[in-house]
Amino acid sequence: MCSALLNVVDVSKRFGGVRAVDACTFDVGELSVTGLIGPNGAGKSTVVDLISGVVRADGGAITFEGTPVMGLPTYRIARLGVIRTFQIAREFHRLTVMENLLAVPLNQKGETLWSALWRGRSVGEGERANVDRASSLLARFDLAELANELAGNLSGGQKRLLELARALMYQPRLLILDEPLAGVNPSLAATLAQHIRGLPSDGVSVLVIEHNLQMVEVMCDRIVVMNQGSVLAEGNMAELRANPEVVSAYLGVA
Amino acid sequence: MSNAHLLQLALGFGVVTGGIIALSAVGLSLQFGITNYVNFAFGELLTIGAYMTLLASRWIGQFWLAALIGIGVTAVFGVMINRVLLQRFVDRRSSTLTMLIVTFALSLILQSTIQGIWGADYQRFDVPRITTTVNVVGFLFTTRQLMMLAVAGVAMVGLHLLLTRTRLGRAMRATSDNSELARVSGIRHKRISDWTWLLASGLAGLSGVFLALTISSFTPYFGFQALFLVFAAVILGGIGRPYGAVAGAMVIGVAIEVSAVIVSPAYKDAVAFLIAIAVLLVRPNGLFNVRGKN
Amino acid sequence: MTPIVLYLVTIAVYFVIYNILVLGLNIQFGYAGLLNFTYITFVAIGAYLAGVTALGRAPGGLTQIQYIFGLGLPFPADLVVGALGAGALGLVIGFVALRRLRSDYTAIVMVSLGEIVFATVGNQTNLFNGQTGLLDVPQPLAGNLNLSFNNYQLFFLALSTAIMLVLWLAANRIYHSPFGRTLRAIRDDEDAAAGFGKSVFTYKMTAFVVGCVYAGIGGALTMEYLTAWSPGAWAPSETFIVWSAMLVGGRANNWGAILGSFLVPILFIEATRFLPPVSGHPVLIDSVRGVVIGLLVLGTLWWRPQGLLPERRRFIRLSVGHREEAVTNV
Repeated sequence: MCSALLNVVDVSKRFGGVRAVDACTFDVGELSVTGLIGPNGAGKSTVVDLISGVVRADGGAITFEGTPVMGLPTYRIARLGVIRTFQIAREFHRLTVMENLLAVPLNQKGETLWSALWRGRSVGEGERANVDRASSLLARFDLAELANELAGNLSGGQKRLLELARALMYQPRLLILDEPLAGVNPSLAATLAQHIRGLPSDGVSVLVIEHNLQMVEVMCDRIVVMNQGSVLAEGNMAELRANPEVVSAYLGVA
Repeated sequence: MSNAHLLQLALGFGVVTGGIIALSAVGLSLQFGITNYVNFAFGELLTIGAYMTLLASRWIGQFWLAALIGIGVTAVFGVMINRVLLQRFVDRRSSTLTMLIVTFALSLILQSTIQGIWGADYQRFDVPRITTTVNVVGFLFTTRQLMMLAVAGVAMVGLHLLLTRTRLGRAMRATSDNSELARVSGIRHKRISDWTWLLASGLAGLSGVFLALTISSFTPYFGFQALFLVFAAVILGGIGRPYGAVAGAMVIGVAIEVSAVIVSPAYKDAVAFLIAIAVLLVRPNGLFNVRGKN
Repeated sequence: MTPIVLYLVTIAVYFVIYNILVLGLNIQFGYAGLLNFTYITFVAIGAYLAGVTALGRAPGGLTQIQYIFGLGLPFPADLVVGALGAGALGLVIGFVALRRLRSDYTAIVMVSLGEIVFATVGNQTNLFNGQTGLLDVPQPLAGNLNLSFNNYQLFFLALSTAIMLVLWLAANRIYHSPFGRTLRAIRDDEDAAAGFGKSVFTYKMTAFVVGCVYAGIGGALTMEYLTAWSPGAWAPSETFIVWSAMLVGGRANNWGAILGSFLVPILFIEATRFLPPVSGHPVLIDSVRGVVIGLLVLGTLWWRPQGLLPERRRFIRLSVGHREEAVTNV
């Protein structure tokens, strides 16, 4: 039995009078792909905002690998190994695709002012190592031809691929994907789903919000269903389809 | 003069200054509400208000009529600035950064134009000096100051009624809260935008005339210099919130006049600014603001 | 030296100094996306501190001249003090303005802090001699070298050019390093950068302070050249000249900085210096300049926001074995 990488316990968040998240509790297991599904307004994106530090929770606890993360700023949570993507692609638009990947690793040699000015040999070595890793990632995601294109000039689908490649460049422990397949054409969606499904073999655990249930079934080991701010049910697709509450709240409508 | 007496005078002065700043602060807040960027050229609308009034008063003897004309011209000018220049950049989806540079450039252009036409020397309105004072609740005001306060008060009440009781006002508030939603529900953005700019610029012009009267001699840069006080008021009140802006303006007005007595008149602006910065450090969304405008 | 040559040497010195100023602003805005509308404040502080380091003790008394320090130190102490002082002021102002504030607030806070510094310097006469300012500042190595007036001009030109070249190299090194890349990532999307663990505030502060140091060096050199500085030299339009040079020349491009500082402060301003003053309108030419510079910025932002020399794309070869077909470099 894998230990839980991420624990979300009894977490709540109100916006004005609206309870976006209400005593929500679930885990993400190590080296798994966990899906987070639910109707619009169920609170999925808000939960992700809470986990990644974008929004502060009103109550409850969130722990990552045993470390409590509630109240930490986003950059600290990222340094613990939690990376999150957004629904709208947020590439560094005036950097090239390759530079987008190179920008991401933490604590690079040459990333301080001093080391930038008095560049020693280790800076060049570090850069080459990063270029190697970035090259293989770009090849894997079929972006190698666009390596020196400005990221802002990419098409929507290409930006999605870039977002995924860039997140992996960071070598996160937990990758949270916020609707990675939304608005993507079916063949690209299938490709992306395969990529995501294979991430645990790279050592990356995944929490993915997605509406496309076919793809959710392809990608995920386990699925958490949210409704009206809290968790309605958990399990695999077969179990959920057999659950009458889930069906009436969500699957039946979908 | 005893210190207590000086303080009393300062408080009275502070209320007047606060009232004048409040007019501008509300104008700036209204304008920010629909544009979502800060307008560095706003100070120039105060300056234009004063100079247009100066121009009009050379043709028309009656000062207050000239002021009316000057303020009217300023209001229309504000609408024109938006239509001709600013809105075009916005329509191109320019970044906030770009809009800030654009308004800063506009500020320089307007200041230089006024300087070019009227020169850099101090100007005065051709109005008599008022020395008779009236005692109100223990504070001393000149009749002119009382009149300015009264007009400011009427303007604020009028604005409040407009925003809450009229269709235009409700449309303005809707657009300010969520312009996409407003557009979808049938509110014509262009029309609302024009009216908002008209009102905001008119308030700025009025504020400029009053300020020019208060400081009695003015230069082409006086609006730009006053802008910082207006910024301070708006920061205190939370950007985009007209009612908070009034409260912020009163605080700033009183604070700077009192500090002029206690510390030194030379640092009035510095005091206003330090207050605003202190507030920003503690509460990045302003003192009176609960839901910040993002 | 004929008057024309002397004039050209003077222009060349201004050109070199403006290069330094634009390079500094480029680091703040072009690299890191920071809006500093009060850049002139840091130039001024650099100038003042250089002045009070080079000058001897304030005579005070009947002359009524007062200022702090008065160390009477030779070059390069004044340059160092000016640079560090501007950097220190950058630390203070940056600390207040660059924290979790939206860019509008940052711009407002910065300009206002600049205005406060301006008011303080003008009113606290014991700091830098108030409205009169500093005069007769000793020039670098003037006593030691004993050059004629003309030869000293050439010497100063060579000295400032050497300094400018060092700063140019540093600016390029910063740009082409991982540090520079992270600054640019923050510029493009600071929330995404924070999402990858970058401490955005630290990076912004570093870029800001470096830019302020450049400003301070430019100011110190100006003081050394003109031997005088007063609040009259601080108009906000001065900041705008540097901004327009950077925007017109090309942001995030150091060759653009050179081009811009030639076109705007040198070509445009100097060309208009020869216009005869219009009688009865002493500030007319200045006003026209202000309008034209403002229009220049608006025009650049409208028709060519990237500037004449846009940011150059960095071409990186993929590692062997991962290269697809040849990629064209634009």
